[in-house]
Amino acid sequence: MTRIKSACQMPSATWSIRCLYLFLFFACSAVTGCKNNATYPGPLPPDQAVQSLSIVPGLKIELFAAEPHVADPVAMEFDEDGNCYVVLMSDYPEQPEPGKERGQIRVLRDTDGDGRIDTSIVFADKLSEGTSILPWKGGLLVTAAPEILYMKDTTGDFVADTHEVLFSGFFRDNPEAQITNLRFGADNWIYANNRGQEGNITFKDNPAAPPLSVKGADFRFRLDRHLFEPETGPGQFGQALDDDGNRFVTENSIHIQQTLIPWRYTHRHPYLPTVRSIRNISDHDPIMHQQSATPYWRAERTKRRNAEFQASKLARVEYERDHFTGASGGTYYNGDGLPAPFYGNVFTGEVAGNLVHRDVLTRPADSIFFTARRAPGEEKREFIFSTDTWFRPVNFCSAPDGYLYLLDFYRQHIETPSAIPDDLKAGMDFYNGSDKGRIYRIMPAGSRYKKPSFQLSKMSGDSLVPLFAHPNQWYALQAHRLLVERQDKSVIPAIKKMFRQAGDARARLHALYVLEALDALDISIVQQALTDSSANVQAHGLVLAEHYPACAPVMIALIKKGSAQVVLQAVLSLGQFNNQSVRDAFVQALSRYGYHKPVQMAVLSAEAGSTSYMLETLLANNISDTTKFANTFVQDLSYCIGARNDQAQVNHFLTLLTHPPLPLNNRLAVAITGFMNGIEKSTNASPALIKSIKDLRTGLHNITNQTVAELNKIFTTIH
Amino acid sequence: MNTRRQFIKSTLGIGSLALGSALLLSRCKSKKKTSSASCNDVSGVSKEEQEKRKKLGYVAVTPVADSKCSTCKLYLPPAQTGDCGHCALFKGPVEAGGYCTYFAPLSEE
Repeated sequence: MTRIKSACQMPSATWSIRCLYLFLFFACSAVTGCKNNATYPGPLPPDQAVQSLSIVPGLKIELFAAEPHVADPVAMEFDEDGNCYVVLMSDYPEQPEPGKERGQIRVLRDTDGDGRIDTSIVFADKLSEGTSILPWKGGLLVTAAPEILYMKDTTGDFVADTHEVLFSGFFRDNPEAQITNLRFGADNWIYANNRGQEGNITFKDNPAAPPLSVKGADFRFRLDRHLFEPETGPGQFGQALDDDGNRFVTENSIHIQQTLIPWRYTHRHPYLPTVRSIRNISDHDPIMHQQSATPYWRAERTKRRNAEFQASKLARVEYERDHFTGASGGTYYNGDGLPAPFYGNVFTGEVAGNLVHRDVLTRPADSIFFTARRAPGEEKREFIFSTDTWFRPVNFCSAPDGYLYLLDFYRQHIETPSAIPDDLKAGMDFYNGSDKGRIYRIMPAGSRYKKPSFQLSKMSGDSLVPLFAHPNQWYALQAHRLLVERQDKSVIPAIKKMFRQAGDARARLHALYVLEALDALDISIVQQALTDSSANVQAHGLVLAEHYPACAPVMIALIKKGSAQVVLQAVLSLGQFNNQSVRDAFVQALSRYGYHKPVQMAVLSAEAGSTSYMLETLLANNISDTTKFANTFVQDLSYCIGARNDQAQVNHFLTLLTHPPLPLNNRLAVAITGFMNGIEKSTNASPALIKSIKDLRTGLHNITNQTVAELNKIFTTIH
Repeated sequence: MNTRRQFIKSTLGIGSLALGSALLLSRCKSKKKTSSASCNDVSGVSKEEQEKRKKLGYVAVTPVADSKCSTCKLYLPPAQTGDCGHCALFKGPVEAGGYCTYFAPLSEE
């Protein structure tokens, strides 16, 4: 204002006009600012913000870090020595111009041990699209679309001085839906969400590999073996891997989904009618219990959209609040700092509702998938809620001190600007709060923070192995990772002993896979895994048994007696082989758990389970009419046979259509329908064949034996 | 029900109705989807809106099995067979089998 005042004192008409403009400009700015403040509340200082959070009884929330040490935090990880790294995503929601990136990775330090960060060091600056990190070999893997980077400090000052591009080619056009959420799995693979975005990925350490399409998929890779491949998904921002290797992903409107069949199985052949293998496992969608006010822009936008739906005569309603639309950062808690009932829960932020949601996962022995339920006492409230509309819980971290950490982006607005009508956007500053951020620690109400002290990097391999059974699985996973990184084979005897003797199934699983990483597996270890008392270890044993054909009889035996989870994996793993005993085992699996669509898909994903010989085996086993799975399975199997369009198999299939059980329960109709659908999608069917099938379908009212005759005629003529 | 036809008839008279109907028909005709490619024609869409489509990751063919515009709560289906659908997020024609990163599944409560 001093400058304006002095400008206005200049004695000239020009200056008078300039002065008038300046006053008008500032007056308008002031009005806009006032309007914005009236419409959208301002921020709370960190110590007041923490007071605004309500958590379930028995727990408390402490402030761990705040501005200026952290702003816009989206991911946090501790390395093997307890150093805390945080990714700051200050460019959100727009993409930065080259050279003007504001993203960072910072090291947060608590030098006096009081549980609150007092120092921060910029590990990496000018980071574009950085969204997640994972410690690896003394440095950090970083997802920064379109790349996955490796950064390392080699001088001990916590500033990265090496910077490598490991993977390139990921989608980079939407910061809310890009490569992200790096997680080290117990199976030695590193998993990442890709939201199904198209991209052709190349890997620096495997230049001979052709570019890999990740369209429709997430992503996984192994740096110890130079492997990379698509993974079933897609997940958006939030990936939770449980102790058993089950994978759960977050999507903005669907807060928890489980991936069921890995991509490598659903893409063994290209003839499946669908490859989708992800399931919404919530039993309480889509409701959340929001306590904060609805922002004006959102209420207005919803009103307009609903008017548009009504004008279009659509029986559809959009909700401005209380429904999941901003789910973020689903994280599996497996620490030992919170009471036992919290172990194994998945925590998900809801940035639009200003709350944290908790899911308790359960899976009966006869179920393929988990069910995510609200915890007792949280039927009508959320785990954490706030009336502060700036509270933006985006992610979490299960930490070495055993507690759960919560990352609060702390922004006035979180939304893709282009999704808000222009008139509503006026006066909204999408960067209001980009200088702020909070990280909270969640702990038992009566507890006092005690900083853990450890240096896993200095520990010998033999002393890392016992950590597999640590009650805080953070230590188990770090020990596992360090042993994979080091490739020190002198530890093999200790790991084998752990695998044989550990009472904790989680420890046996870590041991099994570290042995795999050290090339120390043999058939006796795999067979021991197949007969383990834990269904989960059995399931992983089945994965590893795929390389040991001699294990097939034990694998088949598991189909007869295993839990649904084990049977699903047994079917998938046996699908690596192709013979009559495998097909017989598939029929066994279908008779036990065939009502589960994933079990049907598992059978069909195998070469052995997707041919006319599978149908022949099925019919020879005289499947009961009352079996519910039969029709969908017969239809999808017939689709596979049609899509493959192998002449010998088609001829065989056509002879099977006269088999006595087929007319029962309308199976003949579903078989022919599935087969014709498959032929029409076949990439090796001639245009003449496709036209003949379409002509046959036109005017077809009832499928009878006459239809079979027509099909025979078509294939006799054309093939 | 007060239809558009009745409105035009009562306010502009029958002569205008013929003209109005002709215009209406020609508009409908121009909107008519004649082939699968026509829903990818964004020549009538402003640069800004085209940029918005790109930013939201709109593609005419979904990369994600079973997630497509026709099953999204933001999709506005065509008023009549043969037309293109639209989206509540951006302007211009939309393929029923398309996809964008803002996909939000239609859900039952």
